[in-house]
Amino acid sequence: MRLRYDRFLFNLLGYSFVGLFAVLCLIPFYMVIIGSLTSQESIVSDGYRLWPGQFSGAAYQLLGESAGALLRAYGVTIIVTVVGTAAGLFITAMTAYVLNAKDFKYRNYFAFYFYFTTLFSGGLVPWYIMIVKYLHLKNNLLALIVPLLLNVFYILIMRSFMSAIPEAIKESARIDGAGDFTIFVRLMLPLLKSALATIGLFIALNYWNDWFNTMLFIDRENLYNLQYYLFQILSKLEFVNAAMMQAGIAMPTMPSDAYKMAMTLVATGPIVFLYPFVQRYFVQGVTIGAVKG
Amino acid sequence: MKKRLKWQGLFAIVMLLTFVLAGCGNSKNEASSSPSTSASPSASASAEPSASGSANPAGADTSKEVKLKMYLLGDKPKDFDLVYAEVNKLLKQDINATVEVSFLSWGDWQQKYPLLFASGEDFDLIYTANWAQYNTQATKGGFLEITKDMLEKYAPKTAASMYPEAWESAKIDGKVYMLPMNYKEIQGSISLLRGDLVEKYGLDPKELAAKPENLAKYYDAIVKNEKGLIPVNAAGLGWDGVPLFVPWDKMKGWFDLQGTGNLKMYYDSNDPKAKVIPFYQTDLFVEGVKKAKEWADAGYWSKSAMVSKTADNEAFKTGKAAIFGQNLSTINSLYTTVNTEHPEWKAMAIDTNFGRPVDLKPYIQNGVGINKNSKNPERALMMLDLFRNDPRYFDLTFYGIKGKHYDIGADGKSIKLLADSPNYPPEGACPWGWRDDKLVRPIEGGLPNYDDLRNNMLSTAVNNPVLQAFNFDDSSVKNELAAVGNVLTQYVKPLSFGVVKGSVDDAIADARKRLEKAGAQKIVDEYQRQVDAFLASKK
Amino acid sequence: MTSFLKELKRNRIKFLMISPAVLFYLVLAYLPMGGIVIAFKQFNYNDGIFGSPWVGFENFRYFWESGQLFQVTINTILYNAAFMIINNGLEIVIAIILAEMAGKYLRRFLQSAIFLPYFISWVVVGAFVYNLFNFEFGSVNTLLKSLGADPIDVYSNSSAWIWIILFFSAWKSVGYGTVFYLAAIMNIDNETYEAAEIDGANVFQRIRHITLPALVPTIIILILLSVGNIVRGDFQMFYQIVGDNGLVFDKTDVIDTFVVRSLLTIQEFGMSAAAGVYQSVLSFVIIITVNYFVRRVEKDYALF
Repeated sequence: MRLRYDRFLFNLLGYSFVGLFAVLCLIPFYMVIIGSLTSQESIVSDGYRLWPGQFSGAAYQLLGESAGALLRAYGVTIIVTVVGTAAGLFITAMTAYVLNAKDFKYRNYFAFYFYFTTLFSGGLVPWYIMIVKYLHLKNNLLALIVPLLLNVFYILIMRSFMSAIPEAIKESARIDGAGDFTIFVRLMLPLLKSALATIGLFIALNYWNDWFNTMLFIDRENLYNLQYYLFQILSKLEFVNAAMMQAGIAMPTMPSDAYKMAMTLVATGPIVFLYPFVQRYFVQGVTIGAVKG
Repeated sequence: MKKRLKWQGLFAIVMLLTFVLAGCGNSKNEASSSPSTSASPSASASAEPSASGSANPAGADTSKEVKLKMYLLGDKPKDFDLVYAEVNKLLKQDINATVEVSFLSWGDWQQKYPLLFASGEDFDLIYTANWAQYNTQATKGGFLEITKDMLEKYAPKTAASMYPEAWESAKIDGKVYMLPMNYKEIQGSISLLRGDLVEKYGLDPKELAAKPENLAKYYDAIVKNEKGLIPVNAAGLGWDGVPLFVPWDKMKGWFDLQGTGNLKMYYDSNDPKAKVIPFYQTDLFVEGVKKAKEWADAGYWSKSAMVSKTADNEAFKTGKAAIFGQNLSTINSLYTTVNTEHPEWKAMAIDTNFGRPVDLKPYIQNGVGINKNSKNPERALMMLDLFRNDPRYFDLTFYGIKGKHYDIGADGKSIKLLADSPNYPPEGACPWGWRDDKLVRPIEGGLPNYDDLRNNMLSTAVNNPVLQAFNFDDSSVKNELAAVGNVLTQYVKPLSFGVVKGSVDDAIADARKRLEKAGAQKIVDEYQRQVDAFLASKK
Repeated sequence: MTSFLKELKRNRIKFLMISPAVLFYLVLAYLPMGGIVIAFKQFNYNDGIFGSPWVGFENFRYFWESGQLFQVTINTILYNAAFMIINNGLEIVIAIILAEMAGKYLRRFLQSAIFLPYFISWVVVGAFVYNLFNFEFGSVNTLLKSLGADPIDVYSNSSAWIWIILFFSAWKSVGYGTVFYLAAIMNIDNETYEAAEIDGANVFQRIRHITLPALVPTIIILILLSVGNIVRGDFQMFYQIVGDNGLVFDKTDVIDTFVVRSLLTIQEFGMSAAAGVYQSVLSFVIIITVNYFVRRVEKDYALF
């Protein structure tokens, strides 16, 4: 195949632009890795470098000290993420399907009903009281799942992806006697692979990165999720420093800055591996004609 | 158009319904919870005691076993459960109770603390302090009032041992909502210097400590000769409202007033009228800012100090800064660390109070409050009585298990730390609320001139400044405090770090004008009014 | 009412399908929404949310007393508008380039690479920023000095922070946003591309006439959603990058940092609720207006 000039020009510009941007993104991440391996003294006196002044595995040692608790925290996060994403994605898509149905008279009212909640909220206190006092979810894993289940933005974005699918397809199914739920599950979901992958990824990320709900609703250490567990160690580090100072005791230098970096890596690692998996669904060629036939 | 109106109407109905539903839900909950909250503590407090007056210190009925729930601040030390298992063994014997402790970690306690009260949970005890929302939660009705009667009945030892001024200082509108610590803590300002540099440049430590300005000699020698070392770290995070240079020597007898955040206010203990002095209005403030600018320009601290994220102690420890000022015990600890890691620095401590008398920290700097919704306030008080006065409990909660975490030193009083101590650091599990002068133990090791420094401060210390027990009620000036706090960060903080564009006088005039506009004077007036009322009530 | 019942009967499956979401927002959003009244009350525990005394607009007073309300509101809106334009622009460009890329593995690698910053928390970003710009030891000044130039003091130069913030915002969120556009491109019917290929269109024509028009609904929905948030600032981002540097607040302070800073030492639910109400009402007015105009142009693009 001959190289056309437009393709050449596009590739030249495109590859260098995206490549440059990718480098800008990779360098700080590389620095996080190096930072996590640098001694605390070295970070305080020289800052973050491209190569560590003084190697130290203290941050990881700290994490390794209670590997059992770390694994359990991973377990909690994984369970919450998997269950929450599956349930959330399904409801999100189902809701979006209804909002997108042209023959559903009240769809705009419902869209507004959902959207309004992003504008006005009663604030933290009543919401907290609702979950703790009326739903009785304190120290319950559901308290980590329920609050992040749905997100209006994702519902609306999902609706917009759905609107790209021609009505004619649904019509033909309806003529064949399929009900709404069947059309949604059998026809729409398979057509929406890339949209589902996208929204699913974002729901999963929200669950994965959440620490706020654990902070509010979980007192028991064995139910801490990963992010909160990591956050607790950091807080403990700084606290031990402060407490020992106060009591007038000599304290060893705690690797709190390196630990922050290690934390980023420990928390990022597994979900980064999810991403290429999600990318598999980003395949061009939803050939609608094929479905029709 | 018509259609739009219609659906907006529908929406209004939904909203209305929501409000009504929410209203119902809430009033219902109030109806069900209010009898228990208001009735149980007072009823049990007044009715029970006389019933069975034999077995226990206060003669309270302890036949029913109870489980107390306590919230402490900070993070749970590793061996906490071990230590509290011992505590619970004792508690079970003594008052037929056990205690379950939850920690609110430093990272998020400020958010969680009010929610515990707002959601009406029925925990029993919680750590509180003047810096830990005591005032706010008490005025909002979060704590149970502790009366003298209750104290005498259920915590008789505490009733006997507590300093009267400590009890007084916990009063808000005449009512007490916490048991403050029973400990005279002196504040004071001690600074750690690099002894090797003091020697190298032929400086006299006595002279350096004579006047605040004299430190410039030390700083100057370092800036000129020591590459890579910046004399003062001055982390912006810990800014407390005053310039980095304050003519302390001209403020003898001035004491801090609490409760207005970074709006620094003082009163002169020699002034019988106790006039409130807002620092920003004084000439000393102007003097401080001018000197701070001079020093900043000379490079005594970094131009980026205001946003520095490196803590001052860390900077000193890693050899990035050459001075660290704090209270005596903190300095003592840093000295010990630095001296083991870098003996060649010959770290030395000097007194940087500049002849200014030292005051006592307020007693309500640490304390424990009882939740309004507590189902067992009398047992909670009995437990606190034991914690505060019984050495068995005190040593356990403060220092851990004897023979594991610590041992008693040769003098029979001070303690020696053992290998397991980091798993339960002394005072590391938030026991500060029941700290008591009689039972606190010193820890071995530290500054060679520790006693000199301490005695020197004690000799000048003003024992009981008039306003020690005064608590400012900020409820009528909350808006002003918020607005002023903002102006302080935006306009006064840069001045404090000596970062001034153009003329200092203009910048100060501008900052003062903005503070006035934000309502600083109103805060001062309200403060003065309350102080006057407080003093009048004392007569 | 009868029309509603008729609709209910006709579309009962749809009602059933939407009911989980409706219930979810009823319980977790609408019922607690009554708590908005806290903004107009002096909240105390004994009287509860609805029983506490009314104080009118007392809780809002600190907004104008500080004299900063107008400035921070304008800052918030300008920053968000800039983020919207810059970040969406970059996202679209990068998504199109990625979609056109031939090498599957290179594409996946680049796509993953630009996503990485999303995982770096603002706290860590803040540490890096300080490390770059610190006057005495920062990388930027070390470099300048080694080149023989004068060091620069970024911390007293408020305009510089506009660019720093814009840069880091794009850096952190573009990888994330690209995914939406990539998904939208993947949704385009392949036949259209094939037809264009046969007609002899070049890459640029194809992008101009097929890809971009197909992205319009996604662009509009994402823009509309960010317009609804235009008066809300990302507190963590601004706070961690700028810190408490009063010198540059005139250009960097947004509503959220302003409110958090104001209420740092004052725990008053009513006053933070007041800030929320202010933002909500403003958002509401803005989004209703914008949505109205979008609706007039193209009904299908409107949010509701």
